[in-house]
Amino acid sequence: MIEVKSATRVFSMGTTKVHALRGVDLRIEDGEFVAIMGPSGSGKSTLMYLLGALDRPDGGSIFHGDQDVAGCNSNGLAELRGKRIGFVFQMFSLMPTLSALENVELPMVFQKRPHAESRGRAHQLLDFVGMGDRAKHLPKQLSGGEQQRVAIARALANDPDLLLADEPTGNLDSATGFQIIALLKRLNREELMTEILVTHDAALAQHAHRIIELLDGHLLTRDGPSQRATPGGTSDGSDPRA
Amino acid sequence: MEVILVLRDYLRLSMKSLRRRSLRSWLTILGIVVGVAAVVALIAIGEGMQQSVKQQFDTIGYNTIILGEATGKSLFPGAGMPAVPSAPTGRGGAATDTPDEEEPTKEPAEEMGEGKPAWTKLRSDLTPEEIEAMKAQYGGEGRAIAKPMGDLVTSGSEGEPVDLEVLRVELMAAVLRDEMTPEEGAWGYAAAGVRIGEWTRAEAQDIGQRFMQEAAAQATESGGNAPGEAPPVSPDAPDGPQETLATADMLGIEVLETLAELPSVAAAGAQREETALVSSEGLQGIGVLRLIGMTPSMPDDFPLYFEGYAIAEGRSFAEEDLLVIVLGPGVANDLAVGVGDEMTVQGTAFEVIGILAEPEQVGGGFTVGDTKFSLFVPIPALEALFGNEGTFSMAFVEVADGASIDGVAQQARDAFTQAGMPISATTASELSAEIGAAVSSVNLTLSAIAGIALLVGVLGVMNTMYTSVLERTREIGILKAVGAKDRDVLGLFLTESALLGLIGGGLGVLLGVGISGLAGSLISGSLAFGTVSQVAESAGLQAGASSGLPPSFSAWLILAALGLSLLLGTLAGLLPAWRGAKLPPVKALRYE
Repeated sequence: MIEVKSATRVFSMGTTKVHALRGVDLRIEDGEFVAIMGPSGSGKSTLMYLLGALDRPDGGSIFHGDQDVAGCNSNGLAELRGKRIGFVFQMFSLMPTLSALENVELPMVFQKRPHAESRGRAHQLLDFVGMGDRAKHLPKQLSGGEQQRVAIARALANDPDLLLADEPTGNLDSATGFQIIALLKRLNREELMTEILVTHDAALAQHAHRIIELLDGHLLTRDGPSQRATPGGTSDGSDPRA
Repeated sequence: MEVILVLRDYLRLSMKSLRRRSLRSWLTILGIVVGVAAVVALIAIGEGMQQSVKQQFDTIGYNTIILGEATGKSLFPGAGMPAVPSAPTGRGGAATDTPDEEEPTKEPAEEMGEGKPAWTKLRSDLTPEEIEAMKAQYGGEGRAIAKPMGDLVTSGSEGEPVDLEVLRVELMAAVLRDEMTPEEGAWGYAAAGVRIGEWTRAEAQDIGQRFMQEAAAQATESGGNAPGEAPPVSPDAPDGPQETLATADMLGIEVLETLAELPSVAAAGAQREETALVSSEGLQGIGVLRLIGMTPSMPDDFPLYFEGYAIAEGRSFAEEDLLVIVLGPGVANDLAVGVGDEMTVQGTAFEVIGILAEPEQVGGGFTVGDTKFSLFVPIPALEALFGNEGTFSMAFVEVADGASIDGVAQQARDAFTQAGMPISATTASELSAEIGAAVSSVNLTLSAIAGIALLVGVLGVMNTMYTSVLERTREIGILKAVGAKDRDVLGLFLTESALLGLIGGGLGVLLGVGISGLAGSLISGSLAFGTVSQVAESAGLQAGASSGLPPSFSAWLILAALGLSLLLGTLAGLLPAWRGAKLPPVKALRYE
């Protein structure tokens, strides 16, 4: 469970202060698939960074379970990210010098997991995202969709509690983008993964159980009934595996 | 275990990112390679030089004193050296005390190239009967000498003109040697001046007085002995520097022989080198070759210096030999002469009595040099051909076990000073230290230059790492997003820069070994050897024909170079890596 309590974030741009978040309260249950929407400058990226423990709030708190992001030093945040959070970014999120397999292994390297174990799990994860036969390929040898699949496999490496996807289809054509969304939905449905999808695309957001809209650093609560993922259940009726 | 694991991952990741920017990586490495190669090569060459210096002096032995001309570059220092007591003139300032008495421009040495001028006559030149007769005629010790002196001076017109200053120096020296009394010297000097009309009888009184005073002063200065007293020759006290070993009319070789008789001296020998036109009897061959005159026992007494002097056929010469010659095998072969044959050196026939063995590899070090194409004769034979009796190019004095080397060296110096010969006496350790210090300072300078090269390389690494951190800002963001801690990022970048340093160091060591190997002989020929021979020359030495100083590589040097480059690489990467590690992940991820 993730709980955001009156989180604020202020950036100093020279002498002016930009209030990116002006007190956000939010609660995301385990197994939820939440979309965060909002136009540019609404604070959705800032909220995502706070949720992803990439940044600390200036005020309020963000709890991942019992751990408050606000109270962590950079080391603690790295620990939190490494163990509990998986990221899928819009683009260029793979290490260009490492093969698909090594990219998936990377989070496990930083958790000091034994090499053989990491390798085995990386192969499993690549198989899971359908990239088992491309394990030795470098990112530049892969298409955009394939790169995002590898990124998803990497995000799952340390078996996180939360998967954060920041515009995961932004650089993909709609068909490939749909495959990525389908993969995310499958993960939520089959593996009960808690997922947060950050997007400005309303159609994409429709795939989530719940949409959180941000404007000028405030939450526009449109808290519809949270539809907890259940194995086999779908929220929009389109089964990607079909 | 975990550290090794982590390090392995760091290495794997770093290697990959270095390979991605291989051109830049190699250029950066090249900077380190150049620096390390320079350091390694120069240190190796420097070590080689030091070892070579040590080796040179090991060959002649540290109980050896090297005698040679004190000034100038000539390898034939004794040439034209007269037996003139220049020392008393220089020391006491005797000449300048009486400037009104002669033309000061006249150099006594010029006049006396062949020993004493004919017009001087000292008491030692007179028979006891003659002295007795003079005493009876003129009365008194001093007056006895005045008459013959005056007579000789007036008869000077038949030979050379009389130089009062030369006469004065001669007489002063004779007094100091105790060959005549100060009174006799003063009488002789004053009377001679009156005879040639240089001064009046009244003036002669004063001049005679002054001569006596000066003689007394010089006698005190030179040995603490009152004039007229016999100087205490005490060979039982070998280290006494005031021991009188030589007299003014002794030649270099004679001084050396006197030295050799001291109990503190185990052996002494001299060598003189000339270049001679040689031909075989039937003119089968002719050539201009190095002719070495030496005292017979030199090869036996200083075997390491004369390492190449090994008789293959016949014999070496003995004390009584004169016109005999020992040939290097190359000369014997070219002239087609064997033992018992005759050959011609500078127009004089010599009997070949020995032929040397083919020299082994001519090593470095302080030796007589190439023996293959050299000829060896007794010093008297060389003197017969070239004149300048009693001189030598170089001489060795080996100090007996237990005796003080410095003491004997001082004795030798005193002896040559007293004989008026500008011969330096340098102990092997003095020379070694002198050359060693020169080499050290050269090394230090070179190392500093090499250090600057290395510093430039290090700055190159730093620059590359800053660029790398900047370029990979987004990658740093991703690394941090997937759980890399600050220290992981720091470790990755440090590993990378350390690798740059280490690879550069490894290649630099190889290149340095190559460079110093190739340039070793070149550099030793121009620089190291130059230094050695300069210092050696100032002592009148000729360094052996060294074929080049091999650079010296110790495992220590190579390990230190590798360690240093690893350390410098790491240090160079520290600031950039720190900057990368401290990047806030959000900022890094947003970087385009």
